[in-house]
Amino acid sequence: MAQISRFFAGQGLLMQLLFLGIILALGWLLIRPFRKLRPYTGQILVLVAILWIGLLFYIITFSFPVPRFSGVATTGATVPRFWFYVLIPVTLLAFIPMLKGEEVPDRKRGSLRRVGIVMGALVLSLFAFRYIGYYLSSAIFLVVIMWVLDSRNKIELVAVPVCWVIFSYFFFARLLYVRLPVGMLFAGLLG
Amino acid sequence: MMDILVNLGGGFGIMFTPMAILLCLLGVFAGVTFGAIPGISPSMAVALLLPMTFTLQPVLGMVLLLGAYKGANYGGSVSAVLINTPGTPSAAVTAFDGYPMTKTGRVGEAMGVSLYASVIGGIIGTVVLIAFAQPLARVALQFWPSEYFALTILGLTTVATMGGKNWQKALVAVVFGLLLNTIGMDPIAGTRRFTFGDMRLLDGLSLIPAIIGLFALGELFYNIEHYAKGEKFDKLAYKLPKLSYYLTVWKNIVRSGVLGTIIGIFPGAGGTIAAFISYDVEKRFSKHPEEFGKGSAEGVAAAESSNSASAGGALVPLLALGIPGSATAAVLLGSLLVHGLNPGPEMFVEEPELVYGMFASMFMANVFILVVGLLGANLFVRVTDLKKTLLYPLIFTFAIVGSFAVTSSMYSVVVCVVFGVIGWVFRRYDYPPAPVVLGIVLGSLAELSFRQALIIGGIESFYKRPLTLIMLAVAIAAVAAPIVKKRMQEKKLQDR
Repeated sequence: MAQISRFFAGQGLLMQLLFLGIILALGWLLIRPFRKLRPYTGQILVLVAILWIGLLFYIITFSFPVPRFSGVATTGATVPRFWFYVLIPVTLLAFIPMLKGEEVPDRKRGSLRRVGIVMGALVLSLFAFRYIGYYLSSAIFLVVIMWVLDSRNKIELVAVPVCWVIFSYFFFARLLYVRLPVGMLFAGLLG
Repeated sequence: MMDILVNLGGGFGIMFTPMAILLCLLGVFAGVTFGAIPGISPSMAVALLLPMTFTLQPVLGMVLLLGAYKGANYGGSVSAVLINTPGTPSAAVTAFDGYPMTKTGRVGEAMGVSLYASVIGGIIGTVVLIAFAQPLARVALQFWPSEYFALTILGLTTVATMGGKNWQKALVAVVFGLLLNTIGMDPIAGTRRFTFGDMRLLDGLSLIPAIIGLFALGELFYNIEHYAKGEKFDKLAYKLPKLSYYLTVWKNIVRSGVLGTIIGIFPGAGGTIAAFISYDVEKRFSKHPEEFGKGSAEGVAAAESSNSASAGGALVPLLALGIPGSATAAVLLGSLLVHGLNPGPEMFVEEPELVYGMFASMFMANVFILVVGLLGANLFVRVTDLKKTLLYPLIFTFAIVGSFAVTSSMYSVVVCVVFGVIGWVFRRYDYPPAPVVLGIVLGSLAELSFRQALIIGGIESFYKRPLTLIMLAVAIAAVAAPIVKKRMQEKKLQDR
């Protein structure tokens, strides 16, 4: 157990995401043959993901150092393990109505493409903070989101980002002293 | 008692000067504005105004800061009700019913109830503070870790009523929140837990960005997924209800105010736990518990009243014993220390003008919250008149900059976005997000007090201390009661 524990504890966040993806894919493959469970695919996968996170935490607790001094009733592993023990029956409890077909089926999907674009734009915008700074990055992000939401009014597409940048500069940076990232580009230009 | 009234008279004498009135109004206005912005917590609002107090007389400085504290507590509810983006962690509970009320065109009711509940709850908290500050603080100090643990368990039982028909999913969500809360440094032994090599996770997950992500971004992603071109909000007819309307929720306001004050007294408990517990209690007392979570005025009243009252409670240990029970109280303590004042029992004797001036200013701050709320509500509500093509992007940017402001680092923003995705998934598959917040809020206190209790008194401390036993019994009863009640109803129906 200690070896498995050290293996998982030694992986970075991206690898953990990959493991989660694999578990979800396996879960999806397992659900597919059962026609009765198919309407609840999304809800079951949420349970699988949470249960996996609990199991991962549980496994990793075996790599925690054991205190050398005696007399300590608990360690850093006690509480995460306890919550995992609670999670198992609780997950089963949530799964039973799906198994019985008593749960409301998954909702109809909307435009996942649109959500994907928005999330992608958001991640890119955050990534760009470091290079072009918060102000320019958030202005571009605003235009992209407005465009995705079918706003074609040119005045709005220009005025909203400009007003936001001015507002955020004076309100957050000047009044509230929030040090918003200026970005390498502007830091270089401004010396 | 007579002494208190005489001193309070002196306190009001200080407050009825143009400078004190102006500073109190300024504090409240700044507090409401900052509080309405996601990411600016009451402690941050007070800290931002702190430098302004250095040149003021101590009592006037405290008038400004207390106005900001109380104003920020109310301000958090404004964005929670209007755009489902709680400005402060405790306002997350207000959003449960406030936002559904807005969506169903009852924005006036939601804003009105939240305003009046906040004001009345604040007054209740202040009255308790004035009358019982010293004895209550001594009682709170008698609490052992086992009692704190029992208090958190009592808080966790609120999940039993939070999920409604999705109660099984709510249980999963709360345990998920409790698990997430174990990320970071172990509070007793300092073991690194689940950081995966990322040092930024050592401090655990930031609560405010997580809340903004779960509620605001989660809802936004969902709305964007189901967005139809040219979609607009229904025009909201904003009209505050008549005063008689508030009489329908007066019991909820008073009960939650008292409960919020009591919970607020315990160092570390705070307004968020107070709001969760009061919400749960009111749902149990309600004749229409099925409306909770779907737009219940009683739910909004409970959350706001207890949250506002807890601010008074949090000042009890600060003023009576010099112990800051919350982050905001710590900032206020800092302000007093800057002026060479040491809060504690002696301060009531040596500085009665300051202490009772502060009490009087809290009353006045409540009045100003009412004024700012009534005058400003018409303006606040205009935010929902914006087109979705403008409002959605602006909420995104507010959420991002608000999260950034918490720690001035991209880490908070990443936490916000990750929780936004979790919130979206939860929204899609009918998993309530509120229990995740409950788990994160209560997790730290639960773990710390549980382990401290074991170290100090062993397992016996959980069953040998009467108060712990009583609180744990109440917690068990709180979970069992709805189940037993439901079973009995089913049996009755079968018998018929």
